[in-house]
Amino acid sequence: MGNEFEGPESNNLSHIIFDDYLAQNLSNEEVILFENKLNTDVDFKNAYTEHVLITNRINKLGYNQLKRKLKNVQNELKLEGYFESLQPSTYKRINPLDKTPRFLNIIALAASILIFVVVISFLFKGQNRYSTHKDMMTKFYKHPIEKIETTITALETYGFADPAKGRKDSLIMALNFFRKYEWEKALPILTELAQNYPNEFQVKYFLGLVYLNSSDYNQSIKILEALTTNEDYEIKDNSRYYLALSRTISRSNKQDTDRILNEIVTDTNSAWVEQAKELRKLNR
Amino acid sequence: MDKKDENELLIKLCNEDETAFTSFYKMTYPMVLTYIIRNKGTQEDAMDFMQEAFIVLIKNLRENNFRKEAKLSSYFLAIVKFLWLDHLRKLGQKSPSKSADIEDIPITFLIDDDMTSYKEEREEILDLLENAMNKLEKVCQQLLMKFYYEKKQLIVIADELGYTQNFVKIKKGRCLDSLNQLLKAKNK
Repeated sequence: MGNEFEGPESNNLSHIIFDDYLAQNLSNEEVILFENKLNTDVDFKNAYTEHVLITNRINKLGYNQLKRKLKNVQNELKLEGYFESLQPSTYKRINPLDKTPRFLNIIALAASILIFVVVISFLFKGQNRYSTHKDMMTKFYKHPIEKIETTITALETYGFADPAKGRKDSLIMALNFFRKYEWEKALPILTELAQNYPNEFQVKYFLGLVYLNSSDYNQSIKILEALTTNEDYEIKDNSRYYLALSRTISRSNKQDTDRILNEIVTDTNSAWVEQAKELRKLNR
Repeated sequence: MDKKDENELLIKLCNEDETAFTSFYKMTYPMVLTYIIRNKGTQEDAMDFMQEAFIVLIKNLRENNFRKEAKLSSYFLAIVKFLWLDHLRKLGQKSPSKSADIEDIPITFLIDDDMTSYKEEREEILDLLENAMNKLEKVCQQLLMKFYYEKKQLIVIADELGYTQNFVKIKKGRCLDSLNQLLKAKNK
């Protein structure tokens, strides 16, 4: 094994040694050699550190993707009505009223229902709506990371600001906030840009998505609707889908939403056919 | 469910089969809900902890920390219970009393630092990595995920992808190099 550390091809093979070391597959003698090398060779140590970092991140990425899959399973079950069907019988055995006289049970039950109704009415506009928004966005919103990257790359060459003067392009700044889901920071920059550059449809598109993610559906509908006739097919396709999503969540203009969803479903070039089919079920 | 069915389910869960996820979810959720509700939690908590426990379960199955002497569903409930107690402890609440229908299960399971720190990696970094991974050729994506995430052995990966073990060993290095180059190009 010593040769594998020393040879000119060590870079190509080092990942094997690193993985064997991490998986504790090396013999005692090999471990001593490996650790000596780590302590004396800075390049080797750096390569090892970099290897550990990237492979750990691949692992974490896998768990992130798993989490998304599980969220999808849960959302599917929600749509099926699985969770509602479980509630009553599950709680029955743990009800503290079980040991009290029957008439007290009835009074307590009536009081519970009354409190439940009051609390639900009170929360209806806030908590409940948020939960619906969150669930819907988890299932139907796809963070456009590729689009952000390509837009930023393009802007690095032809941005709104002059890089030679050392000014940061404000759309790049906005997209960097957008990428990190920091809607409240992206919003003022995009709003200002949309006012100064009314013909910039990319700005409007991202602004529409910020409003959608911030649950401001009136604004997202207004902006995205104007983009549904855009000449750029990708913008048009994405905008009509997110317009339909905004309307489905806010339960507005069902008839026209259905028309848009039908349009997407029958458009073989659309990137949203499957999602539109699902949305159509919810919209009806 | 007999042992044979349970073994099949276990393999499917390790392979992240969504149908298996759904059936295991339906099998275990009612008991998890009962436990969480009895112990100061809500239905939302039950759903959140189902997810957390699923992740721990998959990781432990892959790392062979499930010794198959207990039922898979009991093992899963033990994980939920552990996570929930830990959560209450962090909130400074008293531990729940022993529940009658979920007995203490003498199973050990691993919830290591990795499991909690996976949530802490900056979203932005993982987005960049995912983006770079998507640009790799398909075989590289599969190979790197199977080895570094699913923790499969090279011999198993070689068999699944239809290559020799030696090829897969060398290819892994090349894929990592390509990934590194893509990430470095992004950072320039």
